[in-house]
Amino acid sequence: MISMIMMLNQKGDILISRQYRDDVSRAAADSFRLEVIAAKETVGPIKRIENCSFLYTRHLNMYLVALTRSNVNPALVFEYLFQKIKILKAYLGEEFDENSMRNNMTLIYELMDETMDFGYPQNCAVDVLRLYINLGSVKTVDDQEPSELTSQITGAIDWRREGIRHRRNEVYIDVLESVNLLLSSTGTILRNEVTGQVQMNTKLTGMPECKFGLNDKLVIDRENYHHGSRKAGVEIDDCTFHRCVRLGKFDADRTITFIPPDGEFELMRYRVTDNINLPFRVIPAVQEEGQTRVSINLKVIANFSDKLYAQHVIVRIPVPRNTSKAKIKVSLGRAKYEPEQQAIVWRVKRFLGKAECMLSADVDLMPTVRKKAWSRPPISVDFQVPMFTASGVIVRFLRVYDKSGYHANRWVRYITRQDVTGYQVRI
Amino acid sequence: PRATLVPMMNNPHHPTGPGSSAPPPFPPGAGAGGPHNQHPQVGNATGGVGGAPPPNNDSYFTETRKGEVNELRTLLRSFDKERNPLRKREVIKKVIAYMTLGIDVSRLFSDMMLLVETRDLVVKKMVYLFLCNYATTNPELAQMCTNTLQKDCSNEDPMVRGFALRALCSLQLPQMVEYISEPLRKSLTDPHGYVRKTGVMGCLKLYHLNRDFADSCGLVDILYDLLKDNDTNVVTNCIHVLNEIMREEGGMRMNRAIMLHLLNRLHEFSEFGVMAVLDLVPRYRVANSDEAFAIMNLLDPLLRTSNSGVALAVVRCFFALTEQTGDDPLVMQRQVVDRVKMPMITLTAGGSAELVYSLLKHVDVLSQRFPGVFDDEYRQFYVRYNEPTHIKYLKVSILPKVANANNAPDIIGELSEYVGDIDARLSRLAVRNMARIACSNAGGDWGAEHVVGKLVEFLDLNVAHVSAEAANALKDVLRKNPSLREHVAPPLPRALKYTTDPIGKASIIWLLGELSDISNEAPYVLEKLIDSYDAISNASVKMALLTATMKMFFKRPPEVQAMLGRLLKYATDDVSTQDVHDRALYYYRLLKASPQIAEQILNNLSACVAIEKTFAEEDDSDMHAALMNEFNSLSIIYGQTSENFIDEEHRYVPAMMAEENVEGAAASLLNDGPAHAHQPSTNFEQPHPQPTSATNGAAPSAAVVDLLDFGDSSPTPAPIAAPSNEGLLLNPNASMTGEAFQKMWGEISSPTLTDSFRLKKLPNTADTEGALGKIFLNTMASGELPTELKFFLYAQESHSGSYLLVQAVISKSSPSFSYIIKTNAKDASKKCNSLIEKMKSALVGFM
Repeated sequence: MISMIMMLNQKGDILISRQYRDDVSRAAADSFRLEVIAAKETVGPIKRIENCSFLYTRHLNMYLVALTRSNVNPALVFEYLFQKIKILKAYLGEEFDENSMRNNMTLIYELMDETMDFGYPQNCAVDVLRLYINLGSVKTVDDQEPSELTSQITGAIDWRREGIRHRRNEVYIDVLESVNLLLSSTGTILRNEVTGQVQMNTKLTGMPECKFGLNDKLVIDRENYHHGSRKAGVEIDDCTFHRCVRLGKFDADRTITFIPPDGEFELMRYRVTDNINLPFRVIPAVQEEGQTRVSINLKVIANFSDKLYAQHVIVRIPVPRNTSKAKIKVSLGRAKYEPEQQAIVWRVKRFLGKAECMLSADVDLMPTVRKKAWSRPPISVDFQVPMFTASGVIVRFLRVYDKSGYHANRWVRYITRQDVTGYQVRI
Repeated sequence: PRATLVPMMNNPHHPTGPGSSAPPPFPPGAGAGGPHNQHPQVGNATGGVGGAPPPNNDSYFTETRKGEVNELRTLLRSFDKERNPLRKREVIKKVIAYMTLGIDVSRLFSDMMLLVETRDLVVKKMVYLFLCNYATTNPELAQMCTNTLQKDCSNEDPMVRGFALRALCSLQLPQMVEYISEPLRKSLTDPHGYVRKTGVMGCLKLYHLNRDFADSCGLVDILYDLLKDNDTNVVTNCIHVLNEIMREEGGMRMNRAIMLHLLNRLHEFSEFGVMAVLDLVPRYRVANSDEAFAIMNLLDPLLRTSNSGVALAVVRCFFALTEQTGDDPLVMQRQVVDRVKMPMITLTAGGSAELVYSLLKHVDVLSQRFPGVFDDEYRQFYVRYNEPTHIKYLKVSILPKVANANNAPDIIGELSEYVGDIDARLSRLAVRNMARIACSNAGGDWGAEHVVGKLVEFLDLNVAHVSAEAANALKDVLRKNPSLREHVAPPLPRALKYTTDPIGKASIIWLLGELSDISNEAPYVLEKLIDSYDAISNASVKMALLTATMKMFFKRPPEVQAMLGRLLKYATDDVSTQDVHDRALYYYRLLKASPQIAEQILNNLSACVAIEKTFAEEDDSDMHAALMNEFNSLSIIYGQTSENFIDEEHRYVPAMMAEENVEGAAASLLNDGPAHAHQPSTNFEQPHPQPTSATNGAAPSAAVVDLLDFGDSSPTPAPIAAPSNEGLLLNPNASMTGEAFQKMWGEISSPTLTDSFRLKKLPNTADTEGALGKIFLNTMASGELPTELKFFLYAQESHSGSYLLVQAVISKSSPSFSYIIKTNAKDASKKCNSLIEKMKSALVGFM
């Protein structure tokens, strides 16, 4: 269990702290400041100081720290801390800072008491907490039916409260995919993977039951078998779900059913490693001609339908450190040598599908004193392709069932972009 | 818990020392100073209450002054006259603000106490908070407010009852125990879950306050009763509390009935609750291996949650359960790791840095305990350029552990990319871990040779830290694999020049000594060092030099003899380090005594380690085995078992559940429990298909020795069901698949019997299922709709084997139990009637 939760600012001052057990003291903040905040070497998110473990995360420049002396489950503690930040964001705004913390201190104390008792996490669902912690308004809970209230505080569906009403029932679905790619200089794929997220924003009345379907290969194959049709599905390697999804049902027949939380949430996350449609093909030819010149020829081909286009395409072609100038010709967009990046940066605002673009550059090098080979870092491409998924995943349906039988408008968006790991081609 | 006084950290420029005792930097009352206006005004103005001079700085966080605390007191005393509730709140907020800063406002205790009588819930909560903080400093005064607290504990609003109870239990005053016990006991039977859950935690607080008193109250029995509470938050807290109370015995005592009951209700728990239940599973002793598999099947879907705490807890359960299946645990556990590999990697692919860190730590241990399992996912451990550094370091150290002959080239290539990183620590780690691949021979001969090639390149790279690390790494590789020495010799003399790091330098000298027979330049390079002996400041370099020169002497005596003599002289004269001096003297005497023996000793002392052996540092399989028992805890993060870092009073060694005698029938019945639970109710299209499945959730307790009265709460005595079996004897082990049920239901077109009877009290789903389960009328599926509870039930006649199917609906508005029975048995109507009799007797508690 957790002995104490502290929030510290960047200087290590306690903004707020709640002690649940008396085996630690406020003085622990000093050790945290010395050993973590002021430490020269970077410290991992878990630090032990004299048998007291500090597990912490950050929000802006503040530290949210959990202290414990027992052998806790670290993932549980972090999940709690993240939940805590989520709750504070819901109450104080996304970008809450030191000042808003100080001004709402009593509210935060209340939240600390409600979400944790004697070091064990309690109710952490924002929607439910909102029902009875509303310090902002003078209205007290006396106005509400106590019985109804408590039944929700302790209800099994703690991510959604009853009685939500929306004038227009709408669901927005965003499928965000990130592709990573590492191509060797000979063109073989060293690493290629898609991670996708399905983000939802639901504005639905009541307690609707939703059923969500992707073109998952296992489902499609089964349907093909039953209906004799021939459709292609995507082989999803692995996926995780928001807690509202009925996991047993997914494991049994791979249908995704859930009662969604109100507002924005991440429904699922998945990984695909096979049959990936690479949005861009990059064919480089980089030659070092003697000691003073490098010639670069690059062809970039957009590999998606010509009805689509990519935005904000940035191709970075590294050049040696001792580059003096570069003569660059491009068939589309703008390119220039940017010494601070040691690269030629080629920007294309709008790259049509199926288009082929060329860049050729002659790079002049300055003579150097010491001979040192150029390490030839990889070319990287940044992009965003709306309405395209590299994995081929599409949303087949989202059905909303509610007892009032209303119709819900559903909107789907897709976007594919490069992964943080990069979309890279070695040269 | 009392807020200790600490120097104010808020303003480092004012080292004023402990709050109120410090001399005020400004005269009291001059609080309107300019520097305090940095915090924007909040809400309504705070001051101006009851004629007190309005303090026009609105910041709560100014320096402490005695004057201000006094001012607060004035405000508090005029509190009654104030009508505006918002202003009242502001005053108290200010007190709390001071408390947060660590300023001692305990002098206000009596004034604050008077405010506890209020209808404003917010004020009330703040006063409670204050009370809890300072009660220990003013025990007598605190005792005076127990009256109010006790009164609040029976307030009509459940929230107030809860808050008051929490405050009352948190006062931590030993003399208060008598005042606590009564409200506490009442709270445990409160109709509202919120109060019950607070009460359960209160039991733990009482326990810490006075163990003997808590024991004498018999709280434990009540808590065990509450394990079958409807509200899962209450159950979760019960688990925590019981675990802690029985910590010394290895955690909460449990039996099969409790475990199965909790598992069957798992889907009702919040995520934190699920983790609490899963924490019990490793301690559960399964009846047989089928049950272990049934539980694993039940838990399997949870691996897909995006909550990594839950996922890791499931992994831990799997490990524990496989140990009980009777098969070779290591083989089974390897399969488990195979199963959980993908979910773990998906969780690391997204998710916050903190969680990724703890997941990777787990992967690190798993990849060593079960070599090869993570090999094909090696690319997941490639470093991303924008990751936090501690994750980068961790990933780099995982890479050699997932290397094998197939992926070694890729991994070596990737690691050598990191060597050029700006972060020196990362590049050192990369070098070291490349060497580890060569040492473990994970990449085969080719891999080792390739690594040595790379390391030699790095040695020549002319980057001080890289060369030093490469030299050090090469030393280890050669100790493991001396056949690679030819590759290493040429760049050594060059590298020695630009390596400044003492460890690197010592390693190069060691290598020169070892390789002096193939490196022609070796003696001349070392001679230079010997002649500038005084310039060497590091002892380990001197030691390496001594040993290397000795070795070289036996390989090339004519060239080395003179310089060895000089070196021995310098070193024996060296008074800066005792070790060097002694070693030199030792070598000198050894040579004098017998050069042959000296040669034997030095050359025999070959530091080679056979290829099939590992270095001591890497052989920690015992450690990993021990760590596996503490999976999903800080032990994995620290790489130490808990006794190394947990104080005695917090240590907890989970103990296995006691052996239970299970009768054969019960055992087989129980095995169906989780299996059914897993059987999804997909065959029924219900708008709210909450797959409750507690077919046998409560039933088993009848057969199992019911230690804790853990049966169903309905007062149906089991014997009633037993004798009333004229005409109909039901099979206690009946089982049926959902498909069979649906098929049969469809085939029998007209219902055999349709009727209903009234109920006095509305039962909940679990109670009904439990009661009907006792008469062996099992639940296929059930669900709760807004207006009604719906059940699909089945029973099997013992001798004919024919089935009776029941669809039952309990209407919530006017509690009544209506049912449709279908059967293909002979003598259908008679059997139906006796089934109805049975059902009625089972549900007699609600009629």
